[in-house]
Amino acid sequence: MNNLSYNRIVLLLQRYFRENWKIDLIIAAIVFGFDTLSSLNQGSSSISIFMIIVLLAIYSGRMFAILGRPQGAMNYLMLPASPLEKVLTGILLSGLYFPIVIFASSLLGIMASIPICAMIYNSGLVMKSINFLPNVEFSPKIIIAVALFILMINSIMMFGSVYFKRKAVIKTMLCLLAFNFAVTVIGLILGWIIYKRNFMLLGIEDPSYTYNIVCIAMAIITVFFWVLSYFRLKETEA
Amino acid sequence: MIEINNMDFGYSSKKKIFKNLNLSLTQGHIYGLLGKNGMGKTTLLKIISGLRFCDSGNVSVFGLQSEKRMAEMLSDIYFVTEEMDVPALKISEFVDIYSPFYPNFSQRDFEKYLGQFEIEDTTQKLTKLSHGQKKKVIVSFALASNTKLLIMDEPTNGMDIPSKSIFRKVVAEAINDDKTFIISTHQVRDLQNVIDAVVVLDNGEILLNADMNTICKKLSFKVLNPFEFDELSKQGKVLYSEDNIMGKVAICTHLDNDDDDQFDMELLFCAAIAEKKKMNEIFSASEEAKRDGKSNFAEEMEYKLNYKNQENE
Repeated sequence: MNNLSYNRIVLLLQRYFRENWKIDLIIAAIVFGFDTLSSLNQGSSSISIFMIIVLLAIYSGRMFAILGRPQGAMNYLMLPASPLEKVLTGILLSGLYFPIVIFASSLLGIMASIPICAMIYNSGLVMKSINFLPNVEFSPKIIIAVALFILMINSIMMFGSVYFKRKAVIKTMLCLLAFNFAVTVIGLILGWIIYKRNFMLLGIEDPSYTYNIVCIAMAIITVFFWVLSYFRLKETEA
Repeated sequence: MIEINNMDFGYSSKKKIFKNLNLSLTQGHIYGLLGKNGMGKTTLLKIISGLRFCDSGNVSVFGLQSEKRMAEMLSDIYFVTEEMDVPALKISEFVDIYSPFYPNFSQRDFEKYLGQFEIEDTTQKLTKLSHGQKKKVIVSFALASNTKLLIMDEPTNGMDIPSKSIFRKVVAEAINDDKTFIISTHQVRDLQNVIDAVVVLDNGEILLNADMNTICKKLSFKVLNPFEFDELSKQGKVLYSEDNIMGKVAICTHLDNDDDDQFDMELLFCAAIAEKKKMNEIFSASEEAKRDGKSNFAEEMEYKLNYKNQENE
């Protein structure tokens, strides 16, 4: 059986863009405006990666919001495409399309502020810095880590949008916070038992090794939640 | 085309809606799925289309397990739901976006059906239309999709009287030997003239599953005066009756002089609910006979008698 068709994925994407382009355009315009204004105010960009992650998380958390409406869920599940194709479309939108839209509109916002800044401060066209992560030097390693982190959050939120029928964003975020809290508490207790002191105060002996472990863990968690989303969508009833 | 075998289903494990349900629907028919409110009509339609999963048993559509919701299966099924949840799109945009999912969609048919429903302007937004108009658009789209299986849940709800008549016309136009339409309704009179097979559902069991030919062969629908009624009652031929202004409307076991038969779906439905045992005896005989390759009505009845005798022995 043909469970994966390129043509159907294109149709699903077309359906998404034709139905949602206005909302996405409004979000992009808000980000653009916010970054233009904040750049004007400070003379340097302060695109907050935190703000971008929150926006992306909300977007992913609403990816399958249609399943929360009984009739909408019926229409969506009856749409002639396999659950695999529907989840892949969700991954493409939340992991690729929307981050590009947000980053692009943010950068465009900063660039738009440059000539305005020049006029206001009566100086040449200068942008001092684009500051995604304060006090962090940019490197491919950092970019990969940030990208993986965004994908991981997106995959968890996307799973939440399939799992929870209502208020998926809030519920998933609460679950994430609770999980984070539980892991921290367990880590602290284990650290205390093993090292007889707070393990967070322990020095990192090999940062490169830790970096690799963290990246692999984030990649595994991302794929895990994508797979989980697929099975959950497959089992969803309306 | 649709086979349901030994199906159990319940929204909770304690209370089952369907127990050991068996149903077989063939192509080329417009099935009327009749039942009282809350008897599981919509649930059955959802199970057939793969929106609900049965607890046990097997449900297959075109030979595929419906709960797997294969894309190939879904592209040959259209489900018109009772309530409408439409995207904020113009009618023409809706068609542009959704029609490519259905390989047999015909734009010409869509325009024809829409025209028959007197919706000319396809630049109107779906969300701005009234409930009845939304239904007309979705029904037109569903029929134009030319899917092998078209499921409609209470399609005439919200339609005005002329539209109900147009609905019957377009449905009758759209059916062919390759297609199956299942129309669930409790407004039986709305669809009386379009349905050519009846499935009556009550308390999770199928009380009747027969096409019109079989029903008309086995039953007569009569308006009787008191004298005629008494006469037929004495002969044990009246299966079910109701008072009306002319005397009695009755369903009788097949009578020879059936020239003045007035088929009444509502009466049939009431008879199926009220006289489960008798109806079951009459129609199960034909099923048994069909299974053993007997098609003639006389043979069926003979078979029924033999079957009964064997059971008694």
